[in-house]
Amino acid sequence: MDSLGPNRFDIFEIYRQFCELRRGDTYVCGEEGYRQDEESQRAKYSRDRLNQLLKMVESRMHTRTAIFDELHKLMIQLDLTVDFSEFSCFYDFVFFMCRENGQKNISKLSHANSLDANASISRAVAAWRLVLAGRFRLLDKWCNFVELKAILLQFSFWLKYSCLISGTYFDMGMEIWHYGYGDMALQEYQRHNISEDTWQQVLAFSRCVHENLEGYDPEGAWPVLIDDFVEHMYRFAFYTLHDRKENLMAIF
Amino acid sequence: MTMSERKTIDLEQGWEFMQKGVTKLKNILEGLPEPQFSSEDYMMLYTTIYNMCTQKPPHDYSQQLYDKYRESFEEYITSTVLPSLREKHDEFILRELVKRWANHKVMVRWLSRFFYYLDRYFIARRSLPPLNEVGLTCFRELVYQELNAKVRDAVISLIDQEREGEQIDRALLKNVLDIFVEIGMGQMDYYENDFEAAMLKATAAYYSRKASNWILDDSCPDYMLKAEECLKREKDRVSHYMHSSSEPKLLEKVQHELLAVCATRLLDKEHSGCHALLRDDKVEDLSRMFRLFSKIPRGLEPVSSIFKQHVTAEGTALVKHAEDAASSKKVFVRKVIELHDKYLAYVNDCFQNHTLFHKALKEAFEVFCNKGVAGSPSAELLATFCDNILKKGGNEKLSDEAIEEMLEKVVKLLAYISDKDLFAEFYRKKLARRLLFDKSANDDHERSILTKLKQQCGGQFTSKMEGMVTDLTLARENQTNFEEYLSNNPNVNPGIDLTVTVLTTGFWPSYKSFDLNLPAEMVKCVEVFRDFYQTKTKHRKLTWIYSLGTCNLLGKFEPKTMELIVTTYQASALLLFNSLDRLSYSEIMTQLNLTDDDVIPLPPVDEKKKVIEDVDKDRRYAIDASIVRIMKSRKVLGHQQLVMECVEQLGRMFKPDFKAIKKRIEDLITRDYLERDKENPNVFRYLA
Repeated sequence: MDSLGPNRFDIFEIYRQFCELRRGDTYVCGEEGYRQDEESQRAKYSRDRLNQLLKMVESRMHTRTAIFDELHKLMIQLDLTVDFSEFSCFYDFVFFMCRENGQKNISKLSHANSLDANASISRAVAAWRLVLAGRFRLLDKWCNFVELKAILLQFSFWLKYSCLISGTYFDMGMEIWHYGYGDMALQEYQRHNISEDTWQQVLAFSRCVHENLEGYDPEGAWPVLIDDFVEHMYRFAFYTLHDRKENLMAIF
Repeated sequence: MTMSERKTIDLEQGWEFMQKGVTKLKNILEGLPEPQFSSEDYMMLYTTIYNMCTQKPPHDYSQQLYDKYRESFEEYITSTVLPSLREKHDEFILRELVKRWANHKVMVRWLSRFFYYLDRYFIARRSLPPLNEVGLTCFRELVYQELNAKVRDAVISLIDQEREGEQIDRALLKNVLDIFVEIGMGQMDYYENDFEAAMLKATAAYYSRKASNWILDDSCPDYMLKAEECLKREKDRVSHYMHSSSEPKLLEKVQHELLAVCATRLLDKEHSGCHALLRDDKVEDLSRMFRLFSKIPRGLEPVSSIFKQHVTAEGTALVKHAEDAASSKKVFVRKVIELHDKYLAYVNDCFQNHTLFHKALKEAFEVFCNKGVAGSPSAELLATFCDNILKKGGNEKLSDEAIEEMLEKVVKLLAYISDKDLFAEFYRKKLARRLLFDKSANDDHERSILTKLKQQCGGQFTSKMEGMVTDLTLARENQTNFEEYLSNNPNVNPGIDLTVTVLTTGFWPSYKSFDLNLPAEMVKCVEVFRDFYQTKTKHRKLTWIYSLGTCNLLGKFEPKTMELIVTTYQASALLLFNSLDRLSYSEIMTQLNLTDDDVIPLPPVDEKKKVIEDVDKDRRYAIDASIVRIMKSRKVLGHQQLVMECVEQLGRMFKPDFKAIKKRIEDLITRDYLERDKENPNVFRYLA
């Protein structure tokens, strides 16, 4: 498999291998008469291979930020407009390239005291802006929301933390608490990153929902982040289409 | 005389003889002077018919006689009965009809006896209508058909008169209405179509008029009194002169007009409607309201919904009052219990234990019982209330029976609280304090409430609490054994009285344990106890929690000796001064091996917040466990169904919020317990 040179970083080659593994996986699932353990064995095999691939990628890539340049390079070479399954594969590939250490999340948090979840969020947002541009009418609103939520989380955590120290709750009240961020524990705050499942569901969401949110089924199994986004749109965005920035500030 | 010698009777001759009998019968019926039929007369008439029917053809006159039989009735009705009825009206036509019908029945009875032989052979063989039926049918077709509408109107007008309070001849109506029934000869069609339908329509019109006046003039209680009286009278009316099958139909009509049509206007009357009756505790009127509205379809729904609103408002007012006045937070639970007692009595008495009202009561209490008062969740208030009842010198000075009753009621109230897990956590904290600091007033009550909680919330709910109570009992036994051990082994006696309470870690709230450097005297105690404990059990680890201990010290001061009751930490610090007169703060800290936080007592951490956070954490585990349990057995399940089953499983302990469940599902996906179905993202699969 390791057809790459020892230190060369070739995004095309990585993508080719990624697609191969992914297709192999789907091939197993579609095969008739397969046995349960056989399937899980193959799934394990391809998971291991993906992890190997990821380790290799990490060992050869020097800066994380350069990844977007590489992805962009790849994207303009691929013809993603024709075949959705090709695009879907590329979309998953973007997630694959943005995560670290075989985690299922796009996350930068490595130790307990880190308060900086924003880095991982901004990376996910940058990835969305790259890959979903022109494909998701609400892309701009979605990305703004995800970033705003990260800021709010940080703020409310800071608030909680300072309250514990001072021993009093000052009434910051209003929307933040109302909005359900008030009781966010540190643990939960740290877990605020984009999971693979959320990443994939955002693609599904972008395909089925219209600009006016028609097509969103509140009974559906959308990730909470998407539910929150829709709620947020109804609460704030719809009546302030003219000056969204100003209104977002009003939340504080 | 033998058969062969019998002379043939021709029709004309025979009928002439029969005609005489018929005329005599008519005269008797008309009351004209005429001797009664003798048995000889009767025998002659019967024999004539017999003879005329048993002659050889063509002289068998059966068919002709059958026709003549009918014609006799028709002739009598046309010539006599109808003229006398046609000229009469109102009550008089009714009387005449009753008389004519009675006469007609007599005539049928007699004539059919004369012609009886026809019934036996001719009619039976040809399956013709029998004589009795032919006779009655004549009356129906000629008299009844012509006059029933007129008669019916007369009857209805009399009923209306009676409704207005006039005296009427009920026996007469009974007789007339019997005709409507009898004329059907076993079928109710004539009664139902010709009388009952019109009567019901007239009744509806009558009560519709009444209702529209009363609803304007009368208060709700007065209106209901009238309605109940009307219903009673109508029932009475049916039993006196209508057919019993009319009762449900008639009452349904009256109920519809008097209650169903104007239910909303009646119940919502501003100063006397259902709200006002509840406000003013008009128990009797409310009972009447229940009786009346239970009879109309879906009639109780608006009543129960007003009841629910009322109880919710009263309860919410209690919450508000408790929030406004700080002191009333203490009595809040007591007030809620009183409120529940009061309205449970309403449900049982006024509303006859009806499920709809039990449901309304439950829903109302669920609304305000879950609100909490001024930052304190109801779960906490309830636990505090129990604590006050159960602890020594609590606020409640009550007899044993009263305490039992009160505990029963608190537990009942708990059913309305969705955060039962939060209650359990607060309750356990307070129970621990009662047990460890010897504050519990009565062991029986402690056990009794646990039994009640167990019954209502299940064994898992109380297992830790029961373990705590049992621990204390065992600890007392253990202490006795320890004292015995010391008296049997005087050489190990440390010379200090020592009481140790051994607890099972899992049952109790977690307490901090520090590696305090104990004074030598106490170290001896600990060692002696450890030795004793190891004689009884092996492989058990004892963790000493000095922070919960107390010591009685004798301070030999200059003026006099004083007994000091202090914590173990304080005692350890004081005992340092046995060997030295002066010690610095940092020396004390080092010698005791404590930190600043332990030496200088901080204001107590907000325990409430900690309890809530702990419960919140436990809930995350509970939701995770529930989802995994469900998915393990179902393997593949839709999102909605998974959420529903999860809510159902956890409902006994708390009401999980949908968002929380969703978050846990996402987390389980990340941790590879679940995956989304590849075809349908709304379906999850369990990954073994």
